[in-house]
Amino acid sequence: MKILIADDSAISRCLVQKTLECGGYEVLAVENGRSAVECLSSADGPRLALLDWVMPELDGLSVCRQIRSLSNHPYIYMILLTSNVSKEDMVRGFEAGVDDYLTKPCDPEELKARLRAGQRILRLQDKLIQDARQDPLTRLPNRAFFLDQLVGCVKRAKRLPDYIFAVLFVDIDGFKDVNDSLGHFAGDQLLVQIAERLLSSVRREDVVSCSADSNGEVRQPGEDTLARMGGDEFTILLVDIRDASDGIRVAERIQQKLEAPFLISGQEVSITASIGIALSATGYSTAEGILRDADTAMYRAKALGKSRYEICDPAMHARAMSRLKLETDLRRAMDSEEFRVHYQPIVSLRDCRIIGFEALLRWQRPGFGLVMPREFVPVAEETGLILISGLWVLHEACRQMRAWNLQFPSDPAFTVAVNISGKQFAQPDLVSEVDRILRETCLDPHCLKLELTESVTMREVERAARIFGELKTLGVRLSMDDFGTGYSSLSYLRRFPLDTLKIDRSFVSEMEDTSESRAIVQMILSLGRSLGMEMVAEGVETAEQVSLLRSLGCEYAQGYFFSKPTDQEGMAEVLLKSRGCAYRLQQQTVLR
Amino acid sequence: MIQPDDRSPDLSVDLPDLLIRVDNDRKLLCELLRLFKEEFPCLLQALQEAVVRGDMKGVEVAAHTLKGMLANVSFVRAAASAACLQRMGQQCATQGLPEEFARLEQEASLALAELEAFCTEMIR
Repeated sequence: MKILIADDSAISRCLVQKTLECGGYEVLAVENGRSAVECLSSADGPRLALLDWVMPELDGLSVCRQIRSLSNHPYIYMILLTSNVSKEDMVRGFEAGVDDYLTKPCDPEELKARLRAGQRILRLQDKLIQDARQDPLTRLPNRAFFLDQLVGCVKRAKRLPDYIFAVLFVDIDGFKDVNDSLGHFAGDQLLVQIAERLLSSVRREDVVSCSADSNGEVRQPGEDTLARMGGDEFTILLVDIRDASDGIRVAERIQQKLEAPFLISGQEVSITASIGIALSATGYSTAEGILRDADTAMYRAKALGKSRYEICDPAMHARAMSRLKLETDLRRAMDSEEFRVHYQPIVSLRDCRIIGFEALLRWQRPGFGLVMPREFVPVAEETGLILISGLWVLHEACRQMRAWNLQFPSDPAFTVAVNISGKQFAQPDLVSEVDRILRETCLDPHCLKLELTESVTMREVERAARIFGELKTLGVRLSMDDFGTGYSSLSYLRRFPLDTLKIDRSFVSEMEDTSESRAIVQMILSLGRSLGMEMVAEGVETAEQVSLLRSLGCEYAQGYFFSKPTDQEGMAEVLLKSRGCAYRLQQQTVLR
Repeated sequence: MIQPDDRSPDLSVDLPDLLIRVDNDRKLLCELLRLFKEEFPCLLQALQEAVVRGDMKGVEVAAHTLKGMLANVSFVRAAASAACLQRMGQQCATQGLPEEFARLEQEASLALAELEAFCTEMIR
């Protein structure tokens, strides 16, 4: 180990040097304080020092203070070697930052013993620093170390406009499945192997990316950094790159390297990664900012199907912020009673008579007006808020229908169709909740139609068939929404006790223009009839569509041609006006 | 191998102590002697000039350096005299300063002669 002796006395230097060289130290000797500071503050300088107190140019205490004031410098163990022997002198020495104090003439054995103690302290300290910067499982730098490096890069990019760096946020797809199925030990093994492959993906030509060095010393700029942020999340800092293409190349290499299966506990495991890339060229003022955007881009990669990379741009950031606000507002919306139910009548194409309604969720969002479901339902689905709002709509629609059926008697009574989302359908208590709501609102179960899409029902066919059966036992009617857009196995369709098929609006809107759409509508109508179902055409907007649907034998329709969805007061007014003519929508009552 | 003899304890050089410090290394001892003869006159002169000028800070610093050097070669009585001069410099005590300086000069000279004699005998 290297050690510095700073003493203006040649005799003292000679004596100590001899002692230390015999002890196996590599000795550097200087005769003044200034040279001592130069030597100790150099990048590869010694970590042990013996300083004389009284020296020309700079005394030992000043040397000590200057070294201690260096930031981001490895710790140096300093011993003051002096002929000042008073307790006061000793106190001054320790207050200046020395670690030990020896008086001249010093005993060689004592000197060597104290230096050994110093080395023990340095080793312990290095280990502490390393532990604080390193992930114990993969031996990669950890989050704290990565952020330190990132802060340095952000500062550098502010100073040097041409300096570009990138952050790659890597998340392992399906890692939880491995943990859940093979156990945490296997999960850990997988993470170690993933870390090795990532490390080999990050190396660019002569650049090496790896852990903090064994001395725990801060690495100089110019090296890429791969870190484990925790769980199955890794980050990569690519420094001094040309443009986004460098980041993309690394992302592609990572995906390629992860393609081969991993051998974990004798079992082959295949995984993929979703990667978000953020570039410093976008202009970041904080390390957290670029890390956040890389994270956002990674989530986007996940949302777009996983096993891919996405590059973050300011527009993506704006979208992320907007989504975050939407989520926050959405969480508050239920308590603040901001949700509304609008009703769109479903009419008989034979005589334009209202036979029922579809209940549609709307959000009266402060500052934004009335928000349509397509803008907030995906977020509600992701956050689970759809469960609360879905039950609320169901309750509100049942309550309203009971009230209208009392106020506006009709034969048969009006029905209300309520959409059930995939998340709701997956709830084990769906049937009991529907039963509870029907009891609470006293609605005839036959007046409630639950609408599900093909994708929801076809996901778990056996379960869907069972739930449908239970709902039918309650007396509830079932409708398949957006029919024709998803994948339906016709044999399963036969097994489901469906009452209604709703023809998707996309076919209806193109029906006038393309013979293919017309043929599809005709086919769906024929299929529905043969299975004994009611057929409802959605999104009807023109008289021509009405006439065409009539000619094809479609019984029911809904759409702007008859009425746009409206709140309960508006719809009550329509019902009031049409009561005298058996709820037929006359031209003057049609809301467009 | 050098063996410390049983000279009386009132000698100017604590040879047993010095021999331990150099780990009985004959060459090192001779090197120390050479360095001492090279460095000591300049330092002694700097101290003398400070004494003559009445520069008490100068006295303190020069005496401190000499004290360390003399202690390293185990010139016990000379080192004690240097410590005394350093204290006088610290306390700005001018009284008896030239006398103490003369004592240091004399003790150092005696010790040097003793060490030289020992080294000469050792080389033979």
